[in-house]
Amino acid sequence: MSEEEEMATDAELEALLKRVTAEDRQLEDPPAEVWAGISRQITSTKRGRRRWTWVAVPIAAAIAAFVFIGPASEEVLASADLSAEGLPAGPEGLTGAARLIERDGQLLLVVDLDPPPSDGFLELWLLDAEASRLISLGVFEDGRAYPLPPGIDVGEFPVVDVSIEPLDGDPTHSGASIARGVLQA
Amino acid sequence: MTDSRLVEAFVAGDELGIKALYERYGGLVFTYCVRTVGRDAAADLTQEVFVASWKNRHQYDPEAGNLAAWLMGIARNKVKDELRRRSRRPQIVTDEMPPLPAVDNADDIGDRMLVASLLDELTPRARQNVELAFIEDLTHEQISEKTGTPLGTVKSDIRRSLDFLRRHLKEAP
Repeated sequence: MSEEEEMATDAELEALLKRVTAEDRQLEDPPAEVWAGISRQITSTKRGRRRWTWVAVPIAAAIAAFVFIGPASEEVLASADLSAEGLPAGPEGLTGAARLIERDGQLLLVVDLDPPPSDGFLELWLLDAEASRLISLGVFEDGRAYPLPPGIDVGEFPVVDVSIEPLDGDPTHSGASIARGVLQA
Repeated sequence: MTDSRLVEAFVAGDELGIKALYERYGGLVFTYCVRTVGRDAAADLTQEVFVASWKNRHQYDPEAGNLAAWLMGIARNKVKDELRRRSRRPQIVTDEMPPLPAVDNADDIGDRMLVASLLDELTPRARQNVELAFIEDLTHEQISEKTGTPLGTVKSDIRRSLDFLRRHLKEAP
């Protein structure tokens, strides 16, 4: 800083000092809940990060035995054999496979059914282990790679389910699954 | 905790660091908020300031500016945002709320409170000389007479104190 600049800033600083009042120097401690709130928010931010790391670990373990399928930047993180067994609406002999892959940094679910269904409104779902909570991935198309909703915890929704739906405008699961399988790393 | 250790602990990001920062400057930030946005909003805003400072700790550059000034910069922005938000809404004025200061008044209160807190970091003699010069408005000769300190010492105390204050008022960009 040049001498002139220093002098100019001095003048500002001196003027500021002259404006200081006694009130400016009387500080009050914040109430205790302020620190409690800060600590809570920091811990939950850290915990959130840790949970993400935890989800990544079981999938990362699968990378040790990864298989390249398709373009070189693709990795299979988990897979499931699908079948109609135990499903009243499931056509006899229907089988299939689902693969959870990472392609170019994105998580995708690829589902193939054999034989590929030719009619009916089919819908693809991810269910939790108890088959009680559902996430719809949309209209089922054989062999299509479905991007997963961001933030989904695949460990929490490992059951791949294909259902046959009536065209009644009711978005809930019809209860008529034709194929199901559990993703495993 | 000394200044450089405080900065180190804070940037490291663990709870000990943010706690040390809060213990050192929590009163300053809270009182600033009480005086600008009122007591009702001050606790929440203070919390937001410290959480934001922790989340953005990597943006703080110790070479570029003083940590207290950086922290008060965060506080100032949040206060001004809140004041601007309020000025767009019809207000029910209660006895508890201070009259709404203009947004630039919030700047001046922040500047004054920050420099006042820095005075506490001067040596007792230098602080006294600065107070006598600028708050009591005495001339250097009057200070020398009043305190028995040689005139040259008074002048150099004030010179060094102003340099110190200027350095520490500089916010990191």
